Amino acid sequence: MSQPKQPFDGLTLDIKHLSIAFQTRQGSVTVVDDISLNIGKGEIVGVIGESGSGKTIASLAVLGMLPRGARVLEGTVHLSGDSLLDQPESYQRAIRGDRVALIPQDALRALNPTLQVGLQVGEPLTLHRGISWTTARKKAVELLRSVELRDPEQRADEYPHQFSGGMQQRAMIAMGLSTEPELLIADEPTTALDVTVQAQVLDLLRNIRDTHGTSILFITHDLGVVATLCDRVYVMYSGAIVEEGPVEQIFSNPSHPYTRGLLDATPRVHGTLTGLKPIPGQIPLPDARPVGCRFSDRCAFAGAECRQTPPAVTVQEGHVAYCVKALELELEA
Amino acid sequence: MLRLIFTRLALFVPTLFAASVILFIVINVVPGSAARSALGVDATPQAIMRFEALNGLDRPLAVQYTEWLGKALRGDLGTSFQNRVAVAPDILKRLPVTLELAVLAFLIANLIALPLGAIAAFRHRKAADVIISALATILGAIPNFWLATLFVLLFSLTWPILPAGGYTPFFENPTRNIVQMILPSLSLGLVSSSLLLRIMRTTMLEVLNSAYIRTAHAKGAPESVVLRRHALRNALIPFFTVGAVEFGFLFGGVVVIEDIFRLPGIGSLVLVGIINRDYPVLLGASLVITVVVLSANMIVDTIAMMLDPRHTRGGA
Ligand SMILES: Nc1ncnc2c1ncn2[C@@H]1O[C@H](COP(=O)(O)OP(=O)(O)OP(=O)(O)O)[C@@H](O)[C@H]1O
Ligand SMILES: [Mg+2]
Repeated sequence: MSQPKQPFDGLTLDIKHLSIAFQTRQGSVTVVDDISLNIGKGEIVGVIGESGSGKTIASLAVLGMLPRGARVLEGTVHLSGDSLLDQPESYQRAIRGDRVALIPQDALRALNPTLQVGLQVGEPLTLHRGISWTTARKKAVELLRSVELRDPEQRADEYPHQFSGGMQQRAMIAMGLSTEPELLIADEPTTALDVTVQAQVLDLLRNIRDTHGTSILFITHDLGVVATLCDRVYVMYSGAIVEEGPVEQIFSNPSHPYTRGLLDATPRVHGTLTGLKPIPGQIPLPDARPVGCRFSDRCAFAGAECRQTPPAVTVQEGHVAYCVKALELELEA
Repeated sequence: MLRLIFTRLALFVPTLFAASVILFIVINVVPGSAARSALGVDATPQAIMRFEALNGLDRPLAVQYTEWLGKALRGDLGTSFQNRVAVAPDILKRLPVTLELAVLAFLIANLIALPLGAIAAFRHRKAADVIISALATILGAIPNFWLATLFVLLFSLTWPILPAGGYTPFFENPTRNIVQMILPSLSLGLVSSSLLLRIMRTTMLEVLNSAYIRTAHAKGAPESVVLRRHALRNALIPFFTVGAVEFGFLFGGVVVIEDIFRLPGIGSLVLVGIINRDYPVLLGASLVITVVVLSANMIVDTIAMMLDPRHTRGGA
């Protein structure tokens, strides 16, 4: 393919200055604003942020599956050096489900209710490898076995409603793994599961990374999950990245007030229930963001300088906070 | 699955009973006298009394109904006031005509509704959708007798390529039968397709917005595969369940269309029954139509259930 191939630097996913807007009756609304994000080979990278911060939309752009009305304003996305944006639909379709797989939030609704699970799991192979349905079904049984589903041979012929929630999510993961993709995008894959099943699914994802070297983009609301699974994390707020860095750094030394707020509001990770402090206020709608730092209207530390676009402050190697006061805050902590 | 079918069958009998009671009351409550219709406007009061006594019309409604029901259960639907013809054998003779018309019209309606509804949903808010939706609105607004008259004008009188009426049994002369059925079933089917088309469009839109369709896209499936393999069956299940109701509505049209095209079916019998206040004929014909509609609903529902593994296959 004669695509602008950037010199391959070992990054599986490299998003640079990506902005996405929805065309609405009130005009254009930017829901993803100049985000840059990368994932190295075999890395598990978390994206965390409140509902509506743009996590799903950003990941759909990688798949070339933006919903109707959404448009990439600028930026680039490279998968192992291959540019993904501004490509014909056929090119993006060839990548989807082959080199990049999506593991969605609600596995039951993400599975076709009228198709046998085995066929759904094997389908990417029929689409991308041109193998027959019989072979695909055999492969599907192996895949279901590899995600530790019991009785995969019988289960392959069953329908999604006959599976438990955890089994459905395992089936989705098996489907994602079928083509051995470079990148798995997991969009809140454990939100619908109870805690024990959630832990099993996280273990499974970690094993997949360890055995196949698969890179994983893990989208979540849950800091606890980030702490147990991810190597690095990006914190998103209202369409922008406000802090990024290795997980230990972010947890031990949160340098953006929003990240701190998230940590203070999460009992499992930080302190006890008595210290629980929800962030006051609500995430602003994309068209009602404050000027300058978009967190400033909810921030306890906000001052006049926060009306400027926040600078990228390197707290430590690989740990960046987009906040004028990042270093002051660190002293206080 | 079998249980569901049996439940439906068990509901069949009480439904039919209720329908017969309601029909009986409505027929007797609407103004107009059977005797006057049968004997003419200048019949003497004595003649009318004699007619009513002869036909048992002077007794209380409950008694009349019980007697009618008792006979009906034995397959005897009485005789026509007008011409003393036994109702049940007459209906039996006419049933194939009506069934053929209804089934052909329903097939035509579905053949139009399924692809056009799917295309409209697939091209949501694009030109094709707008055109198809407008077409559905127009078809829904056209009265079927108007369309039938137009067809006769165009295809029987202006360009005489199709007959304007008449009926030949299928097994007597299949070609002739089909040729004669084209205009009646087309007039009825086109008008009936409107509602079905809108149902298909709505169910398909819902399916196309569902998470599993996004999964199919995320797998890299081309649109044609997404539609055929993932969307169609899931849209057909609610479509059939709701669409079965339209089969009932369609019978309203059967009455009119049979009259226009001079088809000797049950529908024309209903019409004659109404005009003449011929209660046995009206009651018998309406009841048989109710049986047909209920059976059709059951068949279509069963098809919808068989398409849905959530019904045919148990839980986890
Ligand atoms: N079809 C759409 N039309 C208009 N705006 C949309 C549409 N889909 C999403 N948005 C807007 O885009 C923004 C980002 O949505 P997105 O789904 O990416 O959030 P998210 O971070 O994934 O949230 P969640 O945690 O709830 O999944 C939101 O403000 C949302 O209102
Ligand atoms: Mg989301």
